[in-house]
Amino acid sequence: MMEMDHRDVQQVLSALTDGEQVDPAEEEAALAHLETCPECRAFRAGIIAISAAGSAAAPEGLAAAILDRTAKTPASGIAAMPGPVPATTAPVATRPVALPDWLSRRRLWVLTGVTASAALLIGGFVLLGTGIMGAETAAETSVDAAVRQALTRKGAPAAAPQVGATAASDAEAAAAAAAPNYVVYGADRVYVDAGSFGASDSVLATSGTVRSALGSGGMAGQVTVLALSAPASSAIVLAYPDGRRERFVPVVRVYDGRTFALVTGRAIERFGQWPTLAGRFPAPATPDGSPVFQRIGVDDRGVAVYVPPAGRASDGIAIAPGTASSDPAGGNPNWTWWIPL
Amino acid sequence: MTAPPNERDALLVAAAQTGDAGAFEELVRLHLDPVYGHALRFFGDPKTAEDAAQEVLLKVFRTLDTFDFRSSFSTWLYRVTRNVCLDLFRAGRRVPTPVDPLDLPARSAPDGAEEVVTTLALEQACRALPPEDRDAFDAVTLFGLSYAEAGEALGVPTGTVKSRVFRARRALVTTLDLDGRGGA
Repeated sequence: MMEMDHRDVQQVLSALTDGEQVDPAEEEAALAHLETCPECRAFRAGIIAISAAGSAAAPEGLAAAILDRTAKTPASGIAAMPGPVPATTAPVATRPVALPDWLSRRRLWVLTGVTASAALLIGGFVLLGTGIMGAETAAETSVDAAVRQALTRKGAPAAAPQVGATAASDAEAAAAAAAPNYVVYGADRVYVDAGSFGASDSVLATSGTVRSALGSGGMAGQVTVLALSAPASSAIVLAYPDGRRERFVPVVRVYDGRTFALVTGRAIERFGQWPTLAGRFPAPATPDGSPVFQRIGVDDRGVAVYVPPAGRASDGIAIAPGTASSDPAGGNPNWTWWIPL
Repeated sequence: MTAPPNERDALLVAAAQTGDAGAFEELVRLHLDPVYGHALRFFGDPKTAEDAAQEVLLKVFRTLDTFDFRSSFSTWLYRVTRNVCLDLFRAGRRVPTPVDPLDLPARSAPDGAEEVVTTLALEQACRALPPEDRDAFDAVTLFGLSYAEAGEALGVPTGTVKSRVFRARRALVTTLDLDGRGGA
């Protein structure tokens, strides 16, 4: 087995605490060293105590003060320099010892002193679940799985015809010109035009296609989708036939602290078409959505949120027609369905 | 199902870029603590840290449309936070409160029965760290960056981040007397 000095062992422990990949031989040697070295065991106990101490939390009211100023500040251009924050200073508040969510990605065995064999097993599951596959792949897999689950639970395909389609179509036809530029990617996820993409193509990788006529009056065709290669991205870039690169982002809203993404029951094959309710739901004929939906509360914008009877928001939420044009639903004349991320 | 942090942040940023105020609010609530925490360790004064945190988030708000998803939002936010603190210091508008490692409070378990470190003791010990070590330590432990992401944000190799974070931990363990050798 590899021989390591105290510094080497402690550096391995430090890296493992941060979830960094360590040479398996070094890890094994470090664990073996711990069994016979009180100095390194004391170091491990020390970094556990440091992690458990947490960090200073922002004072009560600071977030509200910041949001108040951003509400008065233009989103772009030169804004007035911020003045002093009203005295909200309190003694250093302690964040609860509950670990921040990034730490849940770390190899917690270091912090709990689990034996080597159990630690390697746990570490393997942690790595597989969080990063070893690549964050982008893992995230897409988990989200797509949720979408497929939602679609197949009632056995209805995404393009199923809807009850009351005629009336909805008339209203929709009247409102078609007002719909933002949407495309559908990833089975039924709705993306909205977020402007031209000005960065180099070197950060892009071909990801798939969407079917859309875009803004032309012609037939819908396959448009290449380029995804940002950075693991944290969720935006997609469409390669227009004329060479332009246009960025599209998921349409999302926040309810009860969770983010929900808009999905559509019907394909959107050109700009100007509105997303529709997921195919397994008949379009409600009443303003309050009954009996198809029941109201459960309001989202962060004060917009009413609905779920099927006995349903849970964790399975998805519905939003009624009539939202403002500034709402993520964009004033859609249809009921819409949003899935949790 | 809850999205992984980077996925969640990317979606919130994307929504905020289209004008969704609720998404930006969520970003502030999720990320204000590490911003404030870094500023507090930099300046040593809660009031100054509040001012700095405010400037950071306002800058984020004003420039969010320039975020191009090439890095994680946390990486970008950390870079903005560090730069704002340095700019405030260089402009003479805010000055860090000096700290003498010898003045650090003792840890709260003097009998050694249990290693307990108060947040206050840790924050003061962090302020006594060499700036480059503290920057790396904050990037990883406050903002949750990987060594590679921290290296990208700091403009140094990944191995350098690893060394600096380790040096910071060694110094903290010693300063806080967590290794039973009598402290700094």
